[in-house]
Amino acid sequence: MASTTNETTSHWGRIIEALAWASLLVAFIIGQIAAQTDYEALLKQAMPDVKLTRSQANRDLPVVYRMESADTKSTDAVVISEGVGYGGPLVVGIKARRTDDGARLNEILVLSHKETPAFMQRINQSNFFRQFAGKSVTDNFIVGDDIDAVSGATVSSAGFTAAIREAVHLGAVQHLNLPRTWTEPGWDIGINEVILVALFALAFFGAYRRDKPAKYARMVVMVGTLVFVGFYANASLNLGNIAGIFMGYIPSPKQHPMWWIMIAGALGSVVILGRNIYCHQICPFKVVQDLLQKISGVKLRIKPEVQRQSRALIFFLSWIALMLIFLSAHPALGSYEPFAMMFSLEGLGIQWYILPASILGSLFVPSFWCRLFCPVGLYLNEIVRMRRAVRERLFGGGGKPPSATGETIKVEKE
Amino acid sequence: MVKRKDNPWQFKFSFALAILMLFLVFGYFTQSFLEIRKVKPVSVAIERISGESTDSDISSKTATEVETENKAVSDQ
Repeated sequence: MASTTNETTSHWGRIIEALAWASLLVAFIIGQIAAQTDYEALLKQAMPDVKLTRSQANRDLPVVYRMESADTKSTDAVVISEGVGYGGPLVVGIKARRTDDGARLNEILVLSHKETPAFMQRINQSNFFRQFAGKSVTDNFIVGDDIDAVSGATVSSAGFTAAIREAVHLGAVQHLNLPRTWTEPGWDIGINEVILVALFALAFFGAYRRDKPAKYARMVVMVGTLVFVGFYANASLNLGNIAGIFMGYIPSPKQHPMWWIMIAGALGSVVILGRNIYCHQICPFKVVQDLLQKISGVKLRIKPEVQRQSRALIFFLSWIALMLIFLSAHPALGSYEPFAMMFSLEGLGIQWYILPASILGSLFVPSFWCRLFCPVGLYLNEIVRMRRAVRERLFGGGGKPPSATGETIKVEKE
Repeated sequence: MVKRKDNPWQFKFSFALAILMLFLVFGYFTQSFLEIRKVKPVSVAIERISGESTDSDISSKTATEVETENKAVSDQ
């Protein structure tokens, strides 16, 4: 009798799982079709009073429109280009004017973007786009050279700059027949990338050894990840990053090596080594939760049934989040994690309540967010589980199977 | 070995915190859903798919016909 009930439950479980995957696929297809960019509509929305004529010189990006209005001369043009930011593709319109020495940029219009609102707020508040006004089309447009990135939104700054640079330089060659006098961007590897690699290296060292140096390494990683990955770079992994990979929102490794180091470190540790190094050591929000625990000294327990159901709950929450992300083709619209807001203290609407609630929960319940709500932790642990299952099938037993309760983080004895 | 005694109030309090968080997460989803509804991705996708099928009818016309039609539209 009991086995019949189990079979029926597992049968329904498989049907629900199949429906969930099918609905995600449909949402993905709808989102991709709806997200195809209509450049002219975007421009008309941004400049309703200007008559635009599309240049037939090139069918692909960058698309050039001549601007005609009562107060603008016929030498003005707007060039449209796409780049990849932290959240996904972004579309910019670059207003340029022909001059005796070539052409100069007038204004940058952000026509469409999928960045986290907190990052865009930072970019707008720091007047990032003003530094492009007056620049010649033959300038370098390289972050760290003639363009300053916005701290806490470096990937978005680099994405916008790359889109502008590619459009402007291609326009200079194709439309103005100017020689290539600018410097091409190289690999953007600096101190930030070195620090992130060092943090991962120390985290691996701390995870594999139990001696005193390993203890110090773990402490350095804890402080480093909070300050650097959290407050400085605001580069925590979230559901939006994972969904973005499926949607092809992958930044160039040349311009955003930090994104690649983070993804390679987090996924590499689970796939190659079978250890979830990211959640246990690199995630700055885990450090925040541990610190809150130390401050309060309260360690409330979660009912075992609730803990057991948390895996299903996180899968359900991430299904809703992924449906929203795929339908809108906008990763920030589904990422319910409070990470970006925690480290920038900028957010919109109900995000202002999610962060304090997660902080309150972490004060009383150890690793509150990780154990009950974090989709990234669950997915990384699922990969570890699948890896172990494959390994066991290939090479036979050995090794304890990981917990299936959704308890993604090892919790100290309560 | 002493068996640890469960405190029901601990479970209740942690459960209440989890429920509060869950409500807020659903609030966030509702907020996002309302944002997405403004863009109407489903209707846009259907329009584009039906638009493409109309385009394929047009492609059966000769290039001159299409050019003439485009010219007429731009003249208007």
